Amino acid sequence: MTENKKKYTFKEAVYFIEILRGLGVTIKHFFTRRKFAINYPEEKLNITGNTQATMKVMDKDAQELIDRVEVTMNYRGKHALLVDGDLGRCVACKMCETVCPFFAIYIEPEESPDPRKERSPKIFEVDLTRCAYCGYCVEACPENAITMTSFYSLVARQRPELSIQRKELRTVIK
Amino acid sequence: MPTVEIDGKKITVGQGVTVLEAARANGIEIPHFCYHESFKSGGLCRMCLVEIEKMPKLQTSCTTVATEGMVVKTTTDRVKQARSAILEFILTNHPLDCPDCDQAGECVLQEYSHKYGPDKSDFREPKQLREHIQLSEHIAYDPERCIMCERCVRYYRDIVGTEELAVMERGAHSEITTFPGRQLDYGYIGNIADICPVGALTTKDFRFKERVYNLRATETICPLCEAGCTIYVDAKKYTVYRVRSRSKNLTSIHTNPNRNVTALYPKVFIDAILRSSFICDDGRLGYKKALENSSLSGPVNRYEPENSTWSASIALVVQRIKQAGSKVGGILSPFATNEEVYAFLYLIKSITAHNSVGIMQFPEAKEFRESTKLKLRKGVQAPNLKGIEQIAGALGIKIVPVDEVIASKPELLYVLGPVFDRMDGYTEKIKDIQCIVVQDFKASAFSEKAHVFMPGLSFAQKDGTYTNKDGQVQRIRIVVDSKGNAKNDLDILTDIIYNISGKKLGSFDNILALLVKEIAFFNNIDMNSLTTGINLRKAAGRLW
Ligand code: SF4
Ligand code: SF4
Ligand code: SF4
Ligand code: SF4
Ligand code: FES
Repeated sequence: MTENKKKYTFKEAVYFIEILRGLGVTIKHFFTRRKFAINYPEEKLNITGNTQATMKVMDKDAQELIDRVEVTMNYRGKHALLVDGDLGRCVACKMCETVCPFFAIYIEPEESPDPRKERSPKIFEVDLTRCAYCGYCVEACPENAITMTSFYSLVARQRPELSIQRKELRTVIK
Repeated sequence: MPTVEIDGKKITVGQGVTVLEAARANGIEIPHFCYHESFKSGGLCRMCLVEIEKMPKLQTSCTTVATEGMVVKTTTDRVKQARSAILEFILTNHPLDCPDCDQAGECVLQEYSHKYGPDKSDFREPKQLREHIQLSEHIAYDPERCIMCERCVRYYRDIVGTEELAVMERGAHSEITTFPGRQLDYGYIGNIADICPVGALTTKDFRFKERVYNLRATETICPLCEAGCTIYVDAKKYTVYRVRSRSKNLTSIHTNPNRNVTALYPKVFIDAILRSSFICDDGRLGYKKALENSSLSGPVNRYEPENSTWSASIALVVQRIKQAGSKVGGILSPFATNEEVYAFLYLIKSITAHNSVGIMQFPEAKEFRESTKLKLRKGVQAPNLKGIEQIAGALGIKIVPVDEVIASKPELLYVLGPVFDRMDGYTEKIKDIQCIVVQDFKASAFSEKAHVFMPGLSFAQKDGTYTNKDGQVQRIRIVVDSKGNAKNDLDILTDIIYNISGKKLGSFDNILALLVKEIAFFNNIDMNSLTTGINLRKAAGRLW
């Protein structure tokens, strides 16, 4: 067995210098005091602002959504059901319900009262306690009707409060 | 008999069998839209094009009769290209918004598009947008999705014979409508939703209720008249969403060597085909009547309401039957399965002296319109009258009207439901009967009067067999599980029998075996076909 020892330079061998360098970084941060912790809930994190830079515009809706509904492309919070003017986009096709790996969505379709589309959801329910925020439902939706917002502060006293209905999900975008 | 070669496979078929039918019967798939096994081919959609040697052009296999020495190829590049072009053409104005469409999941166009379709279209023009039309109160028609296969038109022309539907306008504007002043009457209208290969025709009953791929289809028998049509019941969890017709395997009919060219569809074939492909609207839309298990919370014991448990109720019934001895009157609903009938009659016969049983009268199952060629309905609006007659006859029990049983002043009246509204007229006459026991899957005006009410199961919640008017013994199956505290009717009966006489009749299978052993009529049931689902009675001499 051949010894394969790495040859250290003088600087490395006298490791004291490297330790000082590391300490230097710590000391620098100690004095510059850039803040990373957020004192939630008094202070709130602005996710939209943080992620603007990394966002990619994926379709024509994206910019609109980001501006109006606080949608980010890489943060998945509470869902929103989008409404164009007065016409809800969702057609109750159950694609999201079908794809959801955690059975978090429950939909009951009905014949749409609005003649501009054929079907609409009578009941649309997302159980946020079951949801894993995987975003599959957003990908599956053929109408770009469901999306996820940057709303992360989900607090409730009882579980049923976190099972949200269509009315609460409804978000007007135009 | 001609022998043809399809994709290198030598196939011998009957006279007059088309290439498409020959291929289908031998497991070779030729895509098709307008061909339907129940009526004559139209040659309209051209999806079934195949290459036949020595013929310069591609031929529609649904109209080409197989002749001796024909060599057919279904997978050549020419055929594939033709299929893809036809699909592209069909899709020029088709919305292709499958998530929005009720047919998605069982749509022939969707399937073929995936399998044979082009991945892009050369048409740049925007698609036509058209509103859906209400063809009748039960059927909605969506012209956008229609592919003009004319199956619905031909169904009304060739099968129903009343010719209400027609294609109006031309080209891309064509659509299916009823002739002016005519309408689609209730009767056999629901079938057009079944035979439409796409989502253009939908029944109001099922429209947008549930995605078809979430439903579980169970093979069972329609209980609403004595014809005993074979049906699928599509259900999810505890809810039944729809009923549709269930074709028996027709390949044997189509390739039957006795079939000949001159009479493509002789009477027997027509009969056989119709009865297996279509059902009436009562069966399709009226199933709810025979279903609901209206939130029954368990047995009701009017003597000791606080002690309404199953064991207490059964013990009470047993004690009362023993007390009444020979003064027990029995009334039977023709909705009861053969096995229940046997158990019930066994109970009556082994304890009562008067050897007779009352049968509830159900209204006759009339045709909805006289003008239709299609006549499926038979007998009364209940499934198992024939079965009762046969079993009672074999056990030596007389069948009498309900009045006679009540007039004989029994001390205990045992009514085996489902009762529906059939006993409502007797609520006054039964006043002096000391003990009335009713077994039913839903409460009725009559069951309100019962001293002991035991909730049973509806036809979709239990196993059993029905005997139809023709004497075919057919199997019904558990479609949905039962909710609440109801109990299988057969178990209730066998429990009572066990507690009275110590005789164990066993479950559904055991009693069916008993029927087969003891009663000559049931001797030649094909047990195998009962379990596999095509429910035939060998001796009935039917085609299948
Ligand atoms: S984010 Fe994932 S888990 Fe949550 S509802 Fe959508 S698909 Fe279901
Ligand atoms: S949100 Fe989208 S995927 Fe879900 S039912 Fe509505 S249209 Fe379909
Ligand atoms: S008819 Fe078939 S292909 Fe057309 S939209 Fe409906 S499911 Fe899709
Ligand atoms: S409505 Fe359906 S069955 Fe009738 S022509 Fe159109 S696609 Fe064919
Ligand atoms: S199936 Fe042959 S032309 Fe339509």
